[in-house]
Amino acid sequence: MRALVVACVLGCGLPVAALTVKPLSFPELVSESGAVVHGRVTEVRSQWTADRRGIESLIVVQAIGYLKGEWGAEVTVRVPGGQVGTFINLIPGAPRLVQGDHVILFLKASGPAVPVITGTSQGVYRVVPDVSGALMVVPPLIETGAPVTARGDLARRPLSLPAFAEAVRRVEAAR
Amino acid sequence: MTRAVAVLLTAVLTLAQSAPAHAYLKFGFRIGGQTVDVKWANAAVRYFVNERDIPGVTAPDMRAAVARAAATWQAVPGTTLRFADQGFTTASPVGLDGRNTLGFLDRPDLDRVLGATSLLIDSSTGALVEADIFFNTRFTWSVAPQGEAGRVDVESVVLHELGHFVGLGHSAIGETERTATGGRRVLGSGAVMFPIALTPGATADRVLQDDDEAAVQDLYTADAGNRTSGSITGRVTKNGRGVYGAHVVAFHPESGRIVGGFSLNANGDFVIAGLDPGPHIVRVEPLDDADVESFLSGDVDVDFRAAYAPRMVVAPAGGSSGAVEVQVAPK
Repeated sequence: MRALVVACVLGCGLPVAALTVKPLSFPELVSESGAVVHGRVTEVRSQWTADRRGIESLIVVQAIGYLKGEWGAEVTVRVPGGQVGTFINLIPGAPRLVQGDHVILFLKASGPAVPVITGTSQGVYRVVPDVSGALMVVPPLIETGAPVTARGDLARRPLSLPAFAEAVRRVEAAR
Repeated sequence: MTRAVAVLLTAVLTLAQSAPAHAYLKFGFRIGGQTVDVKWANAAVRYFVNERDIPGVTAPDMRAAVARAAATWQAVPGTTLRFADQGFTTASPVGLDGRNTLGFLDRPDLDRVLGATSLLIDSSTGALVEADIFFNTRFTWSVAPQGEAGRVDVESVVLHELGHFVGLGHSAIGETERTATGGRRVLGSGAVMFPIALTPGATADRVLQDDDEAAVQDLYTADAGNRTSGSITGRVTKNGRGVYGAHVVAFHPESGRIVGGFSLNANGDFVIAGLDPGPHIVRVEPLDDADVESFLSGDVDVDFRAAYAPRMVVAPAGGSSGAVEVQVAPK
């Protein structure tokens, strides 16, 4: 184990996930989501849960577009944790979004319930400009390249927003 | 808004601040210009175990597994951390009720999550007020001493969640491979706090590793005035600008210890404490294979090549290295 880890840290690469979780593949992430929204977080409201046993946050996203599905110009998403007064309820590994975040969120919902993010933190991608100003999606997809997911692999780079959207559509088309 | 800058993770808050938090990953707040670690203030952390049985794991089995995992954390030398078993409870392992409770819970909606920890923090002091941990009955569990094929080892997951329970985030020391279905499988991890579980049946994560021990030693130091471990401080830059969210790994060739951290602000600053004194190899790498939200919030930079510090970096006993700059290049 020691040799393996030393070799890994000094020579190759590593991980993913949340909350001691079983990771989703990208095709699973797409197929398990009812909608994939590209947008900006315009509001974050934290509140006690209905049973007052915890704190949850309602994240309002102004949609710029949808990569899958169509859930309206504005969609509200529920995530665990948040702050009410001086108390903060923190769920390590759960997504944390703030007003102004530019994101792609993979969403699922059952019945009339407020949608949640698919795979907890795994369903959050961030849209950031590169040095030329082009919009790129982080983190990179991990479906390509060598079986061992080495960190720093030159082949694994953030995709452009159109390329990421195409990757989602390709998965949908293959179903 | 309170005295505290209301942000959840140290990493989040330091993005907008100047001082980096120490890494592995600890949680913290900016209060009165100081970064305050989220931790238990009391010498002994009391906890209850929910009395529910599930197939293959009785409540006494669960309580014993929790006790073993708690003993493992508090056995780390040089720390003040202590746990106090308060027995069984009917209280739910979720919900803010004044009791720290661990137990099984049905969460079919979280079908990828083995277990999760919920922390209630007083943001005016950074003190932990309550923590609960649930283990998802959606999975099959085992407390077999040697593990049981196809079943998730209770003690291993308890050990990971107890790390969160005492104020630790995820570690990025580990390696994965793709599976035939496109998922990920852990090849090896150098930290119990690595966020992906080992294959069901494995029990290797019942044992803390160097990165875990350094983290808890840093957070619950028994005698800060006589600290013998060292730290490395520095900055990760790309084209002259700070890099946020780089994974920084310190390897001590003499002992073989590996401890990781992150650059946690826009200036690219990092601190790795709890190190064996002596020279270290320092490697910086992008979290480009990870679900970065599991570690850090915000716009993490993953578009750079792995790089090493240009020389060995000495962590002096009881002190800190001088500032080390590691320059990385875009891919």
